[in-house]
Amino acid sequence: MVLREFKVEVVLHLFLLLPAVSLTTPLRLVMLDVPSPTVVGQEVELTCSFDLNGDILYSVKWYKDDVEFYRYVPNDWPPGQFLPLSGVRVDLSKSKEQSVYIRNVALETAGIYKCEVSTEAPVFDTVSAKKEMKVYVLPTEGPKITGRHLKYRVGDTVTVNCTSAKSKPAATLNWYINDEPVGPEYETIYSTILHDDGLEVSCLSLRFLINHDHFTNGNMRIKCEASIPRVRYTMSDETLVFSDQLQHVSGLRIRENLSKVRDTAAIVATPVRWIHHLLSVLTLVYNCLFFRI
Amino acid sequence: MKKLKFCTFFSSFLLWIHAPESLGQSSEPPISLKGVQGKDVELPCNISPLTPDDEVALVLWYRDDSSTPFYSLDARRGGSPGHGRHSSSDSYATRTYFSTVSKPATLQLATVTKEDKGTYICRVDFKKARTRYSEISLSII
Repeated sequence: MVLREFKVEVVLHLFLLLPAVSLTTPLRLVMLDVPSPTVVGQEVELTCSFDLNGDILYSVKWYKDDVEFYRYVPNDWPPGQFLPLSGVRVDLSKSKEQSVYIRNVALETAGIYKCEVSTEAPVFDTVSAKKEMKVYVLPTEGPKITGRHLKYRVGDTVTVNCTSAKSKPAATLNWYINDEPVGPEYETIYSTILHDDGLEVSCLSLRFLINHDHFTNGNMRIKCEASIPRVRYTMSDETLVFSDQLQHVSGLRIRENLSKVRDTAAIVATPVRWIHHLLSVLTLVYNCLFFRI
Repeated sequence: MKKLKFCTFFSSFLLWIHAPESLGQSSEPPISLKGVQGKDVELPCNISPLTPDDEVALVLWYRDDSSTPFYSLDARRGGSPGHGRHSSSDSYATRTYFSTVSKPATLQLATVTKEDKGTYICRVDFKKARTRYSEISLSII
């Protein structure tokens, strides 16, 4: 008996709900997917998912910055049509009722995209949604380190520059010494140059005083890394600099007085030069003897 | 006064300069209109095709943020807007008339009240060209 009552109730509820559902859920735009940021040269698919809720579709129109460029009208022939717009190359063979396929993304492809769906006569119910597409241009080559010397002595100042290739947006640059990111104690200056084509070049300088912790096995690796967030772009340039011979002389003395160290170096160098001279003389003598025999 | 005139001249000059940029634009600049309570107003909407081989397919009038047009002219089968099928939502049925003879075409709204204040959007679907939008902001005094 209880079970029967329950059944009746369920049926009643269904009857009450059905007309309510068809009245309160008309055409609905479920989701608009516009990939962003995209990269120049890419192919992208923009998706506009909608639920007609039993209505008949009249049109799906796509706009970029409020200018229509693609429409899908089931009663037209062909249903999918492209309205030429600079920067937007639509691949009609891949575009459908709920999606539009753009080939070869260019800088001009960036903008606000709108999808607009309308149902058939007599109501012409219309829903729309907008989303922005940003377009990035990746650098064609890695960053370059300039201004470095091949050899440095402890106490010398290193001044180097890192320049990225043109990109949009400007690349972020970071310095690493022996794979360690440089701390705030290192003097760095970041700047960007905007070019006529809308692309930017980033520059980051690095200036620091060498101490002997910088050298491991007589060399130091300086790396500059360029990256563009959100598109997982990273490229770097690494350079190896060597410690001057003098680094072998006691670090303590170097710290005490650099000029004194230089004097010592001259003295150290003197016997070497003498040995060299002696060797040259000996070779000459040997050659003379050889020719005589 | 002279300064103002110069400004007007200058701004129209600027508009002229910017005109080629908006060549691909399918929307008309928004218009502001004032209506007097109890009188009729005419809301303009340019429905003329840009090329002689094109025709109007549909004219839809929307109000504010409503997703359903309150007035539609369906000329998809008629051949010309004059032979199209007009229909309007209940609240507007007796007060609206869309004239396609005048240039620009106008939606006549009879005996306006304060409730008619708001934004009116006219959407024109062409058989070939891009969809054209016009926006009119109506205030009632």
